Amino acid sequence: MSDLSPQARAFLDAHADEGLPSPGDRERVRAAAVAALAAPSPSPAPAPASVGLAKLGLGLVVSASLIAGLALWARGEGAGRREETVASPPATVVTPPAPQVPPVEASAPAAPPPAPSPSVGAPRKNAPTPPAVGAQAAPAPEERPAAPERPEVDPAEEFRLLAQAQASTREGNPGWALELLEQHHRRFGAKALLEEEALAARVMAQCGLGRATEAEATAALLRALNPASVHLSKVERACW
Amino acid sequence: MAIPVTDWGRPRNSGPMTAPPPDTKAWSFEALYEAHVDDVWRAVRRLGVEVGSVDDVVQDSFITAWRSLAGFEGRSSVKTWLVGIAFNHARHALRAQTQRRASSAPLDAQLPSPQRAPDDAVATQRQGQALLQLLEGLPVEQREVFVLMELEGLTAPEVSQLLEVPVNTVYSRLRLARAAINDAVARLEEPT
Repeated sequence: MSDLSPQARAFLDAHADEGLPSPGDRERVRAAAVAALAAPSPSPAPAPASVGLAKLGLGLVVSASLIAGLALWARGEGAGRREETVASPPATVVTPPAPQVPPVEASAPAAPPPAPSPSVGAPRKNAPTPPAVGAQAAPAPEERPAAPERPEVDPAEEFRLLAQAQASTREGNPGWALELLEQHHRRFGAKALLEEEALAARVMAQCGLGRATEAEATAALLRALNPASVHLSKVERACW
Repeated sequence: MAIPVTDWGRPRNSGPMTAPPPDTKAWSFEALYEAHVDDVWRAVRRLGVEVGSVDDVVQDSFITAWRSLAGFEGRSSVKTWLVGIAFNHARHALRAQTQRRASSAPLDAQLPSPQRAPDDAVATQRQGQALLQLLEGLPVEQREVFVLMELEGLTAPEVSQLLEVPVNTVYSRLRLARAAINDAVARLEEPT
């Protein structure tokens, strides 16, 4: 099969960030999506597109194919899944979990987002952790209240998420474990009760992905957090 | 040894996975959005959705993803799953876009545009749109496969399912797209 030339590869690498949204783009769409999700009744299959279709007179055929395509992909998530036919559009097929969407009026404007290379893993100092509906804006990550003031930090929930991450690494899916640990970080951040366990799990996942340098750095964080951590002996053997 | 305080380890595209269903109840829309909006936005732009329609496509994609969350079982990466949803929305928008352009343009403007002159391409490169312009030069079928596989990291079976074409057809389109991109880049970077 024809491969990309080194020249073409270099070109693609050099232009990898083309097409990224601006901070204003991100915030505008986020606000609109949050508002749409907070609306009383879920909208059917994409309203703007449906309206566009009606105007163009393409009829129900394309709408149906979009809905079917979306439904199959959203349920099937890529090739290899058993075939599932879904009779209705995604919005009506599944019962989504209660979205942890803050009311629009309570959502504080986000701090200027990070550089275009999305630092998915980097903690954003001034970005609020996602509050539950009706909650106040989150305090800065550095603050650690003496007693839990917000009911949304659920130790059982934190434990469940970490347990899933650990299981994923054990079962040979360290990439998925890291995704879960990112969720853990965003959900609990500095309020995490299981911070040592999360760091240890991260080291194991990074080792599983062959990222020894990153794993070493994370192990150093754990060591700095608690030099007597019971997890150190395990993580210090993980990659090396 | 200096301790990098912000190095949490960035999960890169780790490819298809076979993890058990994740506990999506622990997710939040904000987290999902913040983690993946850049990827989804860029993919939509790369697929050719015009600037004025990107907002709607990205918004619809995340709304669909959020409402379909219970069905996500972690068999692909979250990014792959989202890009797939965005692709379907983008394709729908592109059909409308093509129809709008066809109905509003005079006949001779509907003919395939001639290859961009190197000077134009150089100027475009300076404007930071060189890749997007190169992708514009690909036929739609090749562009879809090239963007999804070469740029977004989906596998051939995943693309085959999305496009509803055989895997061999996916590979064939990718081969042609790569050859076209090789030629276009070579022309772009020819010394003038």
